[in-house]
Amino acid sequence: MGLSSLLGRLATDAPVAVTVVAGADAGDVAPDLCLRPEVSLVTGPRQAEVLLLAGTCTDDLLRAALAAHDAIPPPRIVLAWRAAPGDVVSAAFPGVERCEDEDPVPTLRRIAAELRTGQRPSSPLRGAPTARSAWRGVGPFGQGGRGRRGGEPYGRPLARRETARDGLLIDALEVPVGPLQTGVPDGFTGTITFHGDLVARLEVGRNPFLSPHLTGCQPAFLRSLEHPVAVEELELERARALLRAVAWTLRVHGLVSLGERVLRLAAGLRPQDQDQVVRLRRFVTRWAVSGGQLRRVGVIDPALLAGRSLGPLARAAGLTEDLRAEDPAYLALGFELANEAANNDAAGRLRQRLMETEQALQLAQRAGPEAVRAPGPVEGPRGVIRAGSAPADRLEPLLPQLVVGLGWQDVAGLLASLDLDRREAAWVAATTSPASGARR
Amino acid sequence: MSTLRTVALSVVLLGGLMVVGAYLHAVFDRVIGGAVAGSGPRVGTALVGPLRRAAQLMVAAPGVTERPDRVANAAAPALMAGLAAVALATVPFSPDLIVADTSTGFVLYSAAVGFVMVAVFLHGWGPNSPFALHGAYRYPAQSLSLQVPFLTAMLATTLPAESLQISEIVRSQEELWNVVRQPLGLPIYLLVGLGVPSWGPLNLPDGEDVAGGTTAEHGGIGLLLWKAAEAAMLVAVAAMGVAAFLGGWWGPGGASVVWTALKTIVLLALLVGSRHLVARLPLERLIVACWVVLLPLALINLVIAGVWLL
Repeated sequence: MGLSSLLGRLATDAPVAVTVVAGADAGDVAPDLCLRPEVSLVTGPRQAEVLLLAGTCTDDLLRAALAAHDAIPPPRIVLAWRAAPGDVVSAAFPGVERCEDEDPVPTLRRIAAELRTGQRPSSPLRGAPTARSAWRGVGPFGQGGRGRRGGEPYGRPLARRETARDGLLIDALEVPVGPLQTGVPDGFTGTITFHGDLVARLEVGRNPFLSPHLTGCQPAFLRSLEHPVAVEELELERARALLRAVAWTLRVHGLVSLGERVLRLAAGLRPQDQDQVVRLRRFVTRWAVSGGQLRRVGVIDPALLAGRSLGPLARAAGLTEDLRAEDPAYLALGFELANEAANNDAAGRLRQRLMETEQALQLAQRAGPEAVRAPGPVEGPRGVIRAGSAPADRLEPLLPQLVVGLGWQDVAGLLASLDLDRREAAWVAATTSPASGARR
Repeated sequence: MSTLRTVALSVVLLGGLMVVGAYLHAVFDRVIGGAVAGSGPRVGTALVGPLRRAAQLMVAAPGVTERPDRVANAAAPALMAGLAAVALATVPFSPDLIVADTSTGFVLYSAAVGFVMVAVFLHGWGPNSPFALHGAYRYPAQSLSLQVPFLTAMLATTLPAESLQISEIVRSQEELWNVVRQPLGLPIYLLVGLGVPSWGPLNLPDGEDVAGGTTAEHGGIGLLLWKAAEAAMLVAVAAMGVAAFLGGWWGPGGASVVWTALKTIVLLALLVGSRHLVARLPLERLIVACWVVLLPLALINLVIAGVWLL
């Protein structure tokens, strides 16, 4: 056997390298794919071969998907999974492979194998909005202005001079962030202005998941705004969401395998799994992040959080805000507010989330299938969900003042600890006001 | 002719060591990662997995970024591999199996460790992309801080040997290993040694928080070579840790290359496993820890080593 055919065979058997663009109604696809050995979710599109478009793809997501698509080195291929027919996807990616199955993995494997063996052509460049443009100088014909004298190098303006906090002039570097960037919450968009390595400004962009026509199964917490839902279901869902937030934090801080373990626990979570959560909490707080990695990272003034009903975030800051404490269905189960952590940093939030996961499992066990909660505003895993107001909507206005003066690493640590879920916000917007899909 | 033969043998030996070391590194990473992730025993996949991934990267096209510095992109993995080779060359595997047994082996090894900074920076500079460059800028801050305690800890091992020659350092440990004589040395060496090829808790330049950092924009064969070169550098750090602190080739039954290999494998597994068990350290705290805690400890270690000689 020749070397190249051996290489080809080995490469054909490799896990499919996937980068995912998931709409609001397909939010679980990435955590689910993380657990599949046949698939490897890569950090960025440069290391991917398949672009998986899952669920409703809005215009904003499509722009990001086009950029990600063009960044994948050829041969590349696009798979649209459970994307509504007649969707923008077909127009943007002619010849896109579609799949409506329960599980996208078999199709992913099949098209990747066809791509690797050359039976299927590589998807051509789509001309992403970030495609390169020529140097544009200061003169009327685009001439002149090299170096620091002005002009537009390759379509990008040169850095502006601004006055830094110490009163000296400094180059202000504007860097776009998100929406598909490892290290910031999914769907988070914005522009960060750096003064050196410190953040001088953050402009939060709009939520790319917002769409008036979300399909698929409505999340339990959203359903409970208008319908009675079993407490057991809600609490299991809460525990799952909290564990996913923990897994995400661990991943951002480099513990990818431990994050996978937490996702695996979340995927098959039962009320009896309290022991595992306790063991996980001990391992995480006493060993994995015990070197002060998260201590004093992302400290927030409790006064800023007060009255915003931000769930674990507020409770980790020592606030006693929890709608469950007034809910007769929960009081009947002996609900008690859990905020003994009261350590208002990323480490405290991690511990608070793990403690609340334990509590949620206890409540689920105590509730059994009978206990049902009356419809109305509900304490979700990230704070109170009301008609027209998701926790992310109340948290985002705080962000610009929280990040100023921090280094990027602390910003990433802060963002990971906030558990900002813009998909939930998109669901709230789509559920409670159908015409609000286009609002900021 | 015999010089040519020696050179050819050395190149083959070093090349083989680097390839085998990088493979072992990837296997350990998969086995330990799989155990931590709780995905069940997948030894077969762990053995073939790295080969599959390597083949996949070899056949994939490298990504093209906007206006990249192609020279830097090509030079970075080559420089890293060269530095790993130099570092490995100074490691004595047995009394007669040493590629570069110079009287200044310690200095040569330190130089190789120092120049890693250039390779990492070029690697982040090449793609012309903000987060890759951001990652690249982290490394000089990290490496300047940790090289001082790293090499101070290792310097203490030259005292009992009264020589900068690494083989002499190993010979001086026939009676008693340096890990006993200088108990602070090995922990400091390993702790900051992780940061030389930026691995695990000290993987700041390639962190998830900077979207993959210096490797974010690399794909294909370039990425494979870089990862392999970094892995070979970690193997060199482990092998040198064995030579300087764990008695090198000494073991029950006398001097043997087997002891060096076994100890290196254990140390490598420990270093590789740290990635799955300890979260990444913040840069600022790492720098403070290096200068305020580790450097004084390394100096105390040096004093202890000196007092022991008296």
